[in-house]
Amino acid sequence: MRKEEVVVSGMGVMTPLGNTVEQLWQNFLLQKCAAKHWDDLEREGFRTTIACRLTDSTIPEDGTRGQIMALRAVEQALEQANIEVNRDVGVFVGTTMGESFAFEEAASGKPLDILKATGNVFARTIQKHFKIEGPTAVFGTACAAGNYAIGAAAQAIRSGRVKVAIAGGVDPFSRIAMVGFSRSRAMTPDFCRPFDVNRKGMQLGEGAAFLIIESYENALKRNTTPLAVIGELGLSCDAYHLTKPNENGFEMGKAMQHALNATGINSEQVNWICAHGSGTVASDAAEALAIKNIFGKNNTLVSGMKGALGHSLGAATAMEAVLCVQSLLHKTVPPTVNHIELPSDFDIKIVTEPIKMENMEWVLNCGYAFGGINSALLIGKV
Amino acid sequence: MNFQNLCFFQHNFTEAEVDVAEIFSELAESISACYSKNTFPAKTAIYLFTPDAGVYHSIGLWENALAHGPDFANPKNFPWTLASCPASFLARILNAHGPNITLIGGKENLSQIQEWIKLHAAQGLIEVAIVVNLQNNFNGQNAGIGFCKGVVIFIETDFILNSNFWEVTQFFLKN
Repeated sequence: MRKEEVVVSGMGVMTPLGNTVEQLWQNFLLQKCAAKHWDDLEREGFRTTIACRLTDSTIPEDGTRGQIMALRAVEQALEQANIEVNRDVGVFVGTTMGESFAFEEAASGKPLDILKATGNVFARTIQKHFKIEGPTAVFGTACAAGNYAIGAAAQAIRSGRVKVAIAGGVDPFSRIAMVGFSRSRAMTPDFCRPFDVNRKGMQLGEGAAFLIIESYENALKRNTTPLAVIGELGLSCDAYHLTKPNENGFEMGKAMQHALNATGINSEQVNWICAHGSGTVASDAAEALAIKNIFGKNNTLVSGMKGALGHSLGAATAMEAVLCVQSLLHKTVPPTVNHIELPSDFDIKIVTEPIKMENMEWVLNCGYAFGGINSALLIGKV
Repeated sequence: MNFQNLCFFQHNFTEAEVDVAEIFSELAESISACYSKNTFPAKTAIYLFTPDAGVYHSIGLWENALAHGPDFANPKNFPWTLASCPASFLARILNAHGPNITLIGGKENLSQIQEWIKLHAAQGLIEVAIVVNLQNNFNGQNAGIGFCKGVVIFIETDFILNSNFWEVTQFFLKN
């Protein structure tokens, strides 16, 4: 491996399926689903009362929820990386709603301190807690934001702007998002079923996931064994509709192809696609078409993680990146929980049970967002 | 690669309670005026930084939910609760299929934007980069008041970003 390669050396998560990477991974292998009914949502008048939320009662349900989740995930990641944080470390965060609770309180008349509410609060909190003064970037690219943050961190290391970066995504449970998706008829009334013939929509989740990213050279100097390689991030935009993806999937496929081209590999070298798989009728159909167009001849395995975890918005692609790394480390492709039957016109190979795969080389982590924002990040074995 | 014909634009939002889509449609017209051809090339990217996009509409949507119940809230403006909505809205009007990026915060994001324009140009992903600074009036919680300023960067093959980006940075640093 070249010294200039960018590697992952630590990971941490706070998810509805586990508050450590190992818990999350084991629950995936057991095909568990975090979705459950919530009494408070029913009392508050939500039609959809099923969601994937953290059940850890030590995490406050207030305007610091996201920050606490982020800090706990970063602590785990730093511990695994066994790295001493110096003040030049970069912090790259993806988020969709920020500290949503603060906006909900503002709607009830409480004064809004915007610096404690928008996404920047996560980067500032991480910086303050770990006494970091390096560059930061907070991506508000909605449901693809985690991929953007990790891709930006990798590029900042390649360019020499930072030596070590903390990168990931966080979104605490958002009632505003719950209302929005529900009233937009994008939510499933029961379970999220990625790429299933009976899929009815997405399911809201929450959580945080962060990775420690550094150059391979830096990892060697520290005598650390890297977990995975970060390839390039492919980006594109449908430029089509405010909420709907372009049904032809062309721009989604272009993001995938850009990631392959920029990393310098071909589609045959990708062994698994960690799909966006939101479980909505339109997005899954467009994504299936995009995957077929770019990877069709290879019969590449595809899974969607949101059937088990729900959709944690800006944290989603970061959690999925962690699962991509786990997949490479354990040489196992995780299943698509709640998927039962593939539509006859989807020409892709969905994984429904964990599959052992000895020669995993690269996996592709896909994430898309409202407005046709498309991202695809390659993650490879060391 | 080289910068050619940097085109700066500024659009002030002064009308309260204007439909947000109208605001950004007008902005797109201002940006389009920078380009002599009818539509931008597909390899156009948008790099938008904003401290407060989505704030007004997030609060508004939840106010509506509190008033009418979550099951009866008006979802019309839900996409605008997302900070990414202005950049993706502009992309649709301008036919910009390149990278679409929204960064939360202020001018501290310019180094990140510079790095990505350089990368995306080197990867052949962009012919035009549109850098946008959007600021609503979050204190008054009114998305109809504020400003949007930016620059359209036409990229040639002998592109030397670092020296030219100085002029871009100075524009955003000016109040």
